[in-house]
Amino acid sequence: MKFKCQFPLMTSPTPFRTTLWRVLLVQIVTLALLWLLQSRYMLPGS
Amino acid sequence: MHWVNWLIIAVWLGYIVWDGLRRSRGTSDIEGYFLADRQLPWWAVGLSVMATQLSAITLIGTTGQGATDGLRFIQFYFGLPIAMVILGVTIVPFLHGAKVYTAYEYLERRFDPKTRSLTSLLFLLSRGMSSGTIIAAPAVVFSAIFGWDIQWSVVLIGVPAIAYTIVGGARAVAWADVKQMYLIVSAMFVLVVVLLYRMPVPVDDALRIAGAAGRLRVFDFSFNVTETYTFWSGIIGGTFLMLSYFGTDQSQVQRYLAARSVNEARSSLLMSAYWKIPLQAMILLIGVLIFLYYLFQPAPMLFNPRHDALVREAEPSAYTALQTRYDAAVVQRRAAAQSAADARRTGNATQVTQALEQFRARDEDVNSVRTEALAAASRVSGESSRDVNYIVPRFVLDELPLGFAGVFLAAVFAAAMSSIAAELNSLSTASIVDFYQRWFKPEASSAHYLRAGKITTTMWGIFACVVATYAATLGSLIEVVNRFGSFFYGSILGVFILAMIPRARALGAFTGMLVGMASVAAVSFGAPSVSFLWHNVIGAVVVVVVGLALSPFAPLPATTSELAISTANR
Repeated sequence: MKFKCQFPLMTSPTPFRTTLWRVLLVQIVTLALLWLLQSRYMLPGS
Repeated sequence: MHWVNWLIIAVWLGYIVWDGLRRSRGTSDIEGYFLADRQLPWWAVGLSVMATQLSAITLIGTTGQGATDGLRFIQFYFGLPIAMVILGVTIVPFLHGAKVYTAYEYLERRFDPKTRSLTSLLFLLSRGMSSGTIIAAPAVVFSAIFGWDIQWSVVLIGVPAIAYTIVGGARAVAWADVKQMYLIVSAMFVLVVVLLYRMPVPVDDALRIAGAAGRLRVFDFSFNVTETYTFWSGIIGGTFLMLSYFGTDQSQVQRYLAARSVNEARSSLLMSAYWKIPLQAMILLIGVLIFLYYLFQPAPMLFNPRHDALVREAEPSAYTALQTRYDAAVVQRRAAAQSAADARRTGNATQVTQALEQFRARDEDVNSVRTEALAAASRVSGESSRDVNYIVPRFVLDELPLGFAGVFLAAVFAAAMSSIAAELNSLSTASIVDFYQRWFKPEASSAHYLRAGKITTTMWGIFACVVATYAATLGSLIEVVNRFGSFFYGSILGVFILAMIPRARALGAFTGMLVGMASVAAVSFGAPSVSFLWHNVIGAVVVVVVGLALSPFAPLPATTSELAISTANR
């Protein structure tokens, strides 16, 4: 028996894929803000 | 504590129980009781998923960790959004499409009954014990703060949650979680506003002082498998841990199995993907703000009042000497912090750096005295002396205006209840569906299973309360169970990964799981310094490799239609 692709969501453009990009964007923005917080306020060696 | 605060807590607990009882109407069968008739909207399921994960100890322990250790704990969650996205396109469609009650039920359809029973049994063992520790952790803190016997704290946390879970089932649990999350997030925003309002120096100066004390270090890019809180541990180990927790742990899986459709189940998980890291950052930042607040206000030397009283009584002269040194160190640190804030306004970079270096040295002096005081507390009480979990409750009770403490403590109760309710609900489901119905009484009526579900919820509730009450004396046993749990978490994930690979067979999955658990146990005992986050990676990889290697030697299953079950039902 041949099996179809188990994850069609990964192979077709769906609203879910758009949501995934949004998730990625939110995480990048959050990590960038945390990075800014660290680099602006941390003393070297602390 | 003022009676107004108690009234707020009592009103909240009463409201949650009343609402749970109200929502029990119309629940007449097993699907309604265990899965809310699969009719919950995505946002309610999403909030329920988040509330289940956010326990009371997250609220008081993680904020305390922010105060003492800063923001670096956030790295633990870096894998969560990745895991949620992966689950959204893999396990969620499989499980939701298969119309199962438990995640393990799917493993019987895909492999065989023994794989299902073993994974479900491991879940019951670990979650059964952890349900006790979920109640015990805040109960111990409340007992020390209010001077109660621990059983009263256990009753106050456990009984309302057990009551609405028994009567209302999954629907009551989910809608209670929604309200609990609103309260928890509101209480955190209130704390942030109060802390910022009361900060005696401008926020920018305060953050610079926090930075000098190392509290704003977020990223550690070193690749060290013995460190839990590094970028790579969080991204790699954390992803595997979150895949295991949200993808194979019934306490979470049951939340999104109750969603109306696959898409709504996915969206509910993505709510955590969006908000978990920002929410966790806020929790840790509250801790940092409390650290800053106590730089300028009198802070207790020992935040655990019971330990403070014990040391004062058992070693009075040593206590007085420590307190004198502590007071002097605190005064010097406060002056150094103020100087650092003032230096910023001069605009002289060298002066600012020198002032912050001075502050850092004074902060180390304070920490050094506190370390000695904590060692004395440990010596006298015979207990762990870490008082991280007591910092926020003490701040809330001593410093917040009337009523605010009641709101925050109600949020702590809410966090504990939402976690324990979801665990009881899932423990009952796994007990009935994977064992009672599967092995003992397969053909009974739905009403019979509903009654049985309520009875098992009651039994697991009583078990959790008993474990919580004796948690202090069961300490080593609980540690053993937790360690045992870490052996199989990654291995169960490995079995679910195999379930999605068409050429994997039951023999490979079952044997792979046993080898995976043995491998993690070997690493855990042979190299105990390896962080537990990597155990999940090791377990999952070993199961998949062994499972695929053995599968060609196993007979083909009688039917392979289950493999396409998710796509067929989508």
